[in-house]
Amino acid sequence: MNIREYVKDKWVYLLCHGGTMLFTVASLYVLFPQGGKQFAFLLGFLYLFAALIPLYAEYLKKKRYYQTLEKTLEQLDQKNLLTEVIPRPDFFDGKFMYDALKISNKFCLEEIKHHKGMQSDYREYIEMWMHEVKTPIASSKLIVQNNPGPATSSISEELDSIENYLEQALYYARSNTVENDYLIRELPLEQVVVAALKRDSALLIRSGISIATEGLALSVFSDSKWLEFILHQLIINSVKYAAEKSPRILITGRHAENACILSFSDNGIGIPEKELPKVFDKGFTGTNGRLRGKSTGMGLYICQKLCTKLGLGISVFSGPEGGTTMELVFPKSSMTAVL
Amino acid sequence: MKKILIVEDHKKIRDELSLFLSHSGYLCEAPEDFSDVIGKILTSAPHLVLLDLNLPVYDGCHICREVRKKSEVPIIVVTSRNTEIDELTAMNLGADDFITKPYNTQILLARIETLLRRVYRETPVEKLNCDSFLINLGKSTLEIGAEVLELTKNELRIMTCLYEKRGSIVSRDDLIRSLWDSELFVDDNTLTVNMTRLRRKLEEAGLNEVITTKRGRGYLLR
Repeated sequence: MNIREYVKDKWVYLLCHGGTMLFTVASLYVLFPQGGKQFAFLLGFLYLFAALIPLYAEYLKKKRYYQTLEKTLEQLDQKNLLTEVIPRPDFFDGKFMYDALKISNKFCLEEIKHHKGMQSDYREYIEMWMHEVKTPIASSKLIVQNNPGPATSSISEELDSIENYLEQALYYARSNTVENDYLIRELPLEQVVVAALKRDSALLIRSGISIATEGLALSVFSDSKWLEFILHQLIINSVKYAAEKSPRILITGRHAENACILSFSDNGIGIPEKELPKVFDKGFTGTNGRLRGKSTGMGLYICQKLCTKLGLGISVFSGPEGGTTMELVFPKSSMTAVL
Repeated sequence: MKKILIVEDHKKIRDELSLFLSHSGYLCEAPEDFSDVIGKILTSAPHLVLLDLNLPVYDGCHICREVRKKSEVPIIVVTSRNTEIDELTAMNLGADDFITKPYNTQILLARIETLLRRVYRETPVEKLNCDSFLINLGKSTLEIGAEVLELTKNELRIMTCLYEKRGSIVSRDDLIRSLWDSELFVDDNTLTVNMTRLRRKLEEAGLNEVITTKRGRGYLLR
């Protein structure tokens, strides 16, 4: 707020008083010429002085108030809390605006609270549901195990995929929360890879993929459960897009500058070059996903989110002749050296 | 026979798990009343307890802590929560192992076996006797009289698997699964190669037709 703007705002007032002054001076001069030019001008100036002083005082007061308001607004993180922080002004139009703003803010806050409450209720319910549904899955799996046969083994495959979708949903929920329900500690890379392979053994044996591992005698800092989930997603992808003839997966570990790299390559159908930058996008299915069906476009998206939370790098490479390599980069920082 | 006590309130899981574990050669006991699980665990003195955390009356954490005060019985905690923090909490309560629902039954079996072996310190059998030769597990060799034949990791595992089911046909799938359980990730082609080499080794040592092939069904160790 500067003086020019203020004057512009008060132009009617100033015009009236300026006009009155000129009129007074002119009429005094004409009606009482014996009083002289000086007397008329003196009266005129006195009048103008009396008219301008309160205007200037008001300007100073408002300027101080609005400057505080501007500054507070700038510093405030949650702008909708403005009326809670600034004082109520003592001039009429300001009071009016302040009260209106306060009501509007209150409404906003209540609305936000309502939606937050609704969202967290829903989330709590869904998360509880996800844990509940594990029990019927577990009992179904046991029933299948106790009644071996072609029908139950086919049901078993379906149960595995239900379990996988469920796990994706759980980790998706986890990747969005601020709470840290993960635990970073030193892990032998081999142990995590072996656990992931063993877990998917039924799927891998069924699909006849040959597995080779190399140089996994490294240790990294991460959360074993999250890492296992990420590897599980990569395994599922490799199986889904496997080559028809002698499919292979090669899992290697290596040191790089300031990092350990776990790379996961297959000789599957690969990813077209122009789709590579998009594979981590939410809901991106790509040509292969559409051709082979069954793709939800969530697996790699969640993987990337988890990697970001764990401080890992994840990248994808694919050649024109097929084959996909996913690389997980575990940074070696000064902090991990202390740990 | 080892006795396992299953503490699980979901009736179907309890029954199916009992059935599954008894098929796998364990004696199972599964209480249906949860008012005094702690007393039940202490009086029935099982070799191992499978404890669900989510229980009526007393929750699993409490039971685990109370049992630990009086007994060293190995406890595997079963829960549907699967974060590392939950695992850590269970371990702090005195549980020996932790497995999450819905569990992979093979992994559950392997965990039970490992834990039992560790706690009861069973000295693993060093040599398996196959009449005409011995399988030396410690040295990974075959001993035929005075002659000693070196075996690779895969070959040793194949021989033990065939030995365990001696007299009945072992399918290729079973062999592959057994190799995977021992962290040897072989595929069908590798198994073929391994089998051929193993056979040749045995034949060169003068052991003809120890392993017979049943076409389309699997292998048989005589």
